[in-house]
Amino acid sequence: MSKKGIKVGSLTYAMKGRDILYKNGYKAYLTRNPHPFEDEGCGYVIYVSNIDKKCFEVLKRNGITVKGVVDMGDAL
Amino acid sequence: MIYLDNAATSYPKPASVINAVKNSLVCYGANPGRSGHDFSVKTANIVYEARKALNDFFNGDGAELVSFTQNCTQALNTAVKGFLKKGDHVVISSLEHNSVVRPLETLKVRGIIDYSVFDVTLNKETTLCNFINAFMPETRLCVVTAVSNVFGDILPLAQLSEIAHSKGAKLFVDGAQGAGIIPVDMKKQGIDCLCIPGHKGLSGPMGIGAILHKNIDFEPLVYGGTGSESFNLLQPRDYPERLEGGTINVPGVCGLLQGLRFIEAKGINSILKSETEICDEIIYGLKRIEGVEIYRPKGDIKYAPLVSFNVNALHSETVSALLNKGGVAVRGGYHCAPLAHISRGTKSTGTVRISPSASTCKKDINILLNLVRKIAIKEFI
Repeated sequence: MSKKGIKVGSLTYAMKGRDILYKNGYKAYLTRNPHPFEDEGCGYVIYVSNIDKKCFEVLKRNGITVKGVVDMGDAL
Repeated sequence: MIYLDNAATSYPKPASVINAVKNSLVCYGANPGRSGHDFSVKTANIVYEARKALNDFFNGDGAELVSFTQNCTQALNTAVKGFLKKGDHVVISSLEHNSVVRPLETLKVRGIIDYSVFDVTLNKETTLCNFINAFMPETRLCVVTAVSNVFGDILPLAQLSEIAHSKGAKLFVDGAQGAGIIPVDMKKQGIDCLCIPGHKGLSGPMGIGAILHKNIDFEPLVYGGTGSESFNLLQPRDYPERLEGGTINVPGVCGLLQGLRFIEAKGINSILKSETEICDEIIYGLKRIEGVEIYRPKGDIKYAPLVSFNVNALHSETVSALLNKGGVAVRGGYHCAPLAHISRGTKSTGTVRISPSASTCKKDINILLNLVRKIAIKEFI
């Protein structure tokens, strides 16, 4: 399974998301987006090693808007 | 030196704060929110811890709604200028500091907004009536200090917010003299935005402050790099980075976090009780010196532990200079709060302000009182 990173808004939201996912049993880490789109610019993503559909619900329930998912590729 | 000027900045700082600032230059020396390496993320983590700690302490709406600033003045400018639109009306109290008055007066002079001042009296009901009467149909915002930096009045924030909200206005609070000194609870008191310094009651270093707020749309005061969305030529909209263009003061944040821990460990109610007892003892002694006028009228208003006084017809700066000669540090003059002096009749002399800390001892009080006595009987000119 390819490694996925969840794009959220600011760094602080990424940290909040990481902590919430961690509390919900996910192995979540903060890292830079290794493949930002040209017009998007840089940012942070939450890399979740055991990502599933439920983790997106957890984030949404806690007020964190998911802005996309990125393939981490060889960055990790 | 006997330091009684804690309302200007608290001194001395706890050892844990000093160590945190020093150590941060070694342990948290990377720029948070810019790079992806472990050192940058480690620094970002401590900044996030500080946001969470402040949010918990003031019962805010989330760590993401805590932005760091240079000081309380910058926080207030961010809040006021970021919120107001052309044609808005603002209500402020008669005790406001220039960090509130000056940005509003500037906006008024530019024809953008108007504002009214309500008189804070020694009677709470009268104060609330004055507040209500200051409202206009265009009133969108009320800005009040939690505590007067000149006279120590504690404003009834919960009642003020209830009235403001009932009229469709927001309540922003200048927490410069309240944060870390009196209990401040954003949810219980209905505070929409709280601006605080790190270096006064919270015992942190100078050069750091914060703005804590509900999810309100603020235009940033400073536009710049946020470490994200680089091709977005406008400031990103997500908080808190929206209000933090440029590199933040990481040593200041680390110091503030330890200052907060220090206050939490001691307990704010315990600190307030100690400082109030010390202040009461000072007032008791000052009352016994002929020629001293103390500005603490009795009413149903409560006071924070600071007191203003004057001696005979001397200007407060003269008295403060004499106290300094005697080794006592206080502040004289107008305390950057012109409205307070105009409303309370101390415009000609200003006031001498004493703001002790919990570490002020009996010996310090006796030295202060002896000096004031000598000044009053003209033995110390």
